[in-house]
Amino acid sequence: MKMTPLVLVLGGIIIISPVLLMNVLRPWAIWQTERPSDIFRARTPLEEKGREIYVNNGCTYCHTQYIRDFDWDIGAQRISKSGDYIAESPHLLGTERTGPDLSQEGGEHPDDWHLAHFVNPRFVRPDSVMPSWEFLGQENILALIAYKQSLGFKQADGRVERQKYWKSEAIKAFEAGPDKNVEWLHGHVPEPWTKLPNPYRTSVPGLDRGHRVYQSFCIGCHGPIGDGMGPAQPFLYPPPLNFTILQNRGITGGILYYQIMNGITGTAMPYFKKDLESEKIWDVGNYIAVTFIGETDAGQPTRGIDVSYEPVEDKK
Amino acid sequence: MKVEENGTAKLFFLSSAFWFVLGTLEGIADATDMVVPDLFGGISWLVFSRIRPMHTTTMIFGFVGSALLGASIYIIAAVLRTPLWSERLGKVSLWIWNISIAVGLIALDLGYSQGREYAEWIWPADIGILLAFALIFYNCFQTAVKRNEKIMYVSSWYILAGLVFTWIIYFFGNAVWNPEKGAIYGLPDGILAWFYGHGIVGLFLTPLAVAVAYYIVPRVARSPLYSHKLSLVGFWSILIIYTHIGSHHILQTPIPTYLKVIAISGSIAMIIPVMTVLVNLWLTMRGRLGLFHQDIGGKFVMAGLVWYIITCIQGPIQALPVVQRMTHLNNWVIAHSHLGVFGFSGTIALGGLYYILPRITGRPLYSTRLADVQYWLLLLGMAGFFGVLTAGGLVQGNSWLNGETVYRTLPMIHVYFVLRASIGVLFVGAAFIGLYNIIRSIVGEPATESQEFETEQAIGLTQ
Amino acid sequence: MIYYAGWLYLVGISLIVSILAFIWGARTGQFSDQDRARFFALGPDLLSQPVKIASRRKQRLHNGALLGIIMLCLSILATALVLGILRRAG
Repeated sequence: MKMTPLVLVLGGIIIISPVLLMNVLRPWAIWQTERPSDIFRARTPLEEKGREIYVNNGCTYCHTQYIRDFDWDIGAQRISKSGDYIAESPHLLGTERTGPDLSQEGGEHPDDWHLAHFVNPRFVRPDSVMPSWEFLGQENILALIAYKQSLGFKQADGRVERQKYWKSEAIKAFEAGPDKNVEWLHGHVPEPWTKLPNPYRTSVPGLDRGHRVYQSFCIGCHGPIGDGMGPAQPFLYPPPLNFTILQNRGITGGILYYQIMNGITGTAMPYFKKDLESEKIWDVGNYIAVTFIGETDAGQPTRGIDVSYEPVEDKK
Repeated sequence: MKVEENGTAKLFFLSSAFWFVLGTLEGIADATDMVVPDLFGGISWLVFSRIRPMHTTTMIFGFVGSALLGASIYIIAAVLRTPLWSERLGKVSLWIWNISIAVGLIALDLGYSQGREYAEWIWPADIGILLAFALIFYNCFQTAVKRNEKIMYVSSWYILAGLVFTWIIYFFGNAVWNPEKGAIYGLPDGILAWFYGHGIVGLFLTPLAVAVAYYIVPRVARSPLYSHKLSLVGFWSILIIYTHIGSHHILQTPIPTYLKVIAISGSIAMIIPVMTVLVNLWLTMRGRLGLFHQDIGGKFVMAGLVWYIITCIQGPIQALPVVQRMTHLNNWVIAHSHLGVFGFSGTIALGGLYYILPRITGRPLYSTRLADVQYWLLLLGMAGFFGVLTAGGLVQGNSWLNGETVYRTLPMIHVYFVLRASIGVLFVGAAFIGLYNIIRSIVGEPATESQEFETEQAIGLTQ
Repeated sequence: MIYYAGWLYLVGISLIVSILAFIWGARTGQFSDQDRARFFALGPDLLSQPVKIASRRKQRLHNGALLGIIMLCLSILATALVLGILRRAG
């Protein structure tokens, strides 16, 4: 075929028209109808300031802000919708998840946890590779925290309210003294858990595993000797629990498991059910019970079917 | 001002060598941060996330961009059989270019960023870059207008189109009509930003690197291009396909489905322009590889084309949603970006630099052996990077799919972070060797045999 | 309007520029005489430069290295593709 001008023009039109249709007309039709999503709300000036700091310091290189339908981590309860983004400028979708996604981060933790985390992320998350942001100064960090607590919009607001309510309750309990505090803490664990002993027997490998979990998740607040004097302690109120006060106050494996699994909203104690599977929680609970509290109910004869991996000769 | 023939290209090469050193230093700083996050604790201008955009933009615009622009300015004059329209204008654009890069980088380090990948530079830097692109384009365009050869060789098509489209996509991608934010609103901003982010690779680095390859491969092979017609088919198809596939970077976000369809099908169709380039160049160099292994510039270009094959097979594969479930958001993509920007464009840019520089200065390189050392360091480094980052990425991706949290995967990929930092040392070494070699090639006489030996001793190659 | 205008203009202007360039190319005969165009990268300066061919050993080493890299990377990609498809349900 000869490349006559007519062929060129016709060919050009054939190629160009779908491009025009798909890239120009179609988006016009779609964005005309774009509306805010059910959870959307405008940000406050302080939150906007925090967002600017987030943009300027490149937080977006490690934190995405969208949840996919096959995600498991923080925020996976709600898949992102396009209406969530209408006020974003610049967009902060992100390209890498070296840190967790933040689109539903608001209200996951109370403000004091965030403060400790910004000063040095390893104070609360020992394996973190996030930089320390202390150099930003108190004022900027507070703005950043406000922005983070707004991520998730109305859903975040609900969670933040919950954090505030339970924080006031937790402070009241803490200020009432160890007896009342422990009573309050245990009082919120549902009945079957409070009576449940740790179903696994204490063993050296089990304690070692518990120790490893403790170092990756707990040591920053509760400290290397379990006295609640970890590096994050100065930032947190109510302060991290000193495990020794649990002695002779009716602690059970079930209570420890429940508190580690669900966390204590309002305090800096997060839930660990996304990070840790069942045995890891039992192991770290027993490590705390044996090493710091000094009393454990682990290995009491279990009723029902034996765990298949327990050595037979150990059974009493 | 003294006007020297091809002085602009020479200074662009020198700038490139300088930015390469800076870029690798930024890279190694970041790689170290991921291994020992508290090492630079409390130093604001060394914090990971401020250095990260500096690293990417220094490499894209500073290192690869400068070398490709220098080579392009030389090549367009050479293939059109016409001297560059104005060396003076070229020098002016060179300085605007370098100063804008410096302004953008310093602002990033001080914590002023517009936050969108590869478009982070603040407004004044954007304007400077646009001005530099416009001046370089005008210079090349005037050279083309005054050309002594009626038909434009494929390299000149690529160079002119690369400059025009980069200007357009830079202007819109940075939303320069909105100086404060440099962005529009909502998901369309994400789409625009990735039209841009992908366009910087596809409409700036790729056309210029391909132009360099189309010039150097026939010369080193001492054989005409296999088919000029085929090369033009490749040129027009890249323009049609590459411009609108950027949304494959955000396939998993709630952008409209039709855009995802365009992005995925376009990404797969990218095999067409890529294959036209590769087949054409391969048929030109076939049977003449001995010439390439002997010529330092030809060697770099050949390695760059090898990386091009791999990048462009990887690209379409990772645009598939089933693959993205596992590869997206982790270090797999970082491997791919190093492959595209450094492996393909950067290696070809260095090839252009080493091939053209002796022809500008009129004397051989200061040391071909040093360039050879640099070649092997970079080849090993790139292969290592690709392997380590891909493996780390697969670990991350599979863990997430299996329900692990991001925090739990950090200890798993620690070893890959350590390896990445170690391989980074090769790049830093190669960049310093390159800078030294290029400075000595420009200002001094070529090294004598004994000097080469001394240098090799100094860097520990010979005892 | 302004909500999407940015990238709409981008696509539109890119298209117009490409079409204009293509029409120009067709009208000025850029797509004719392609056989002569093949030689444009070469120049008379090449005649004065000696032809140097690498030794067999060097050729084998370089070809081997590049081929090894290609095979390594392609096998990584193939593995990932297979894993990706197998893991679809994951």
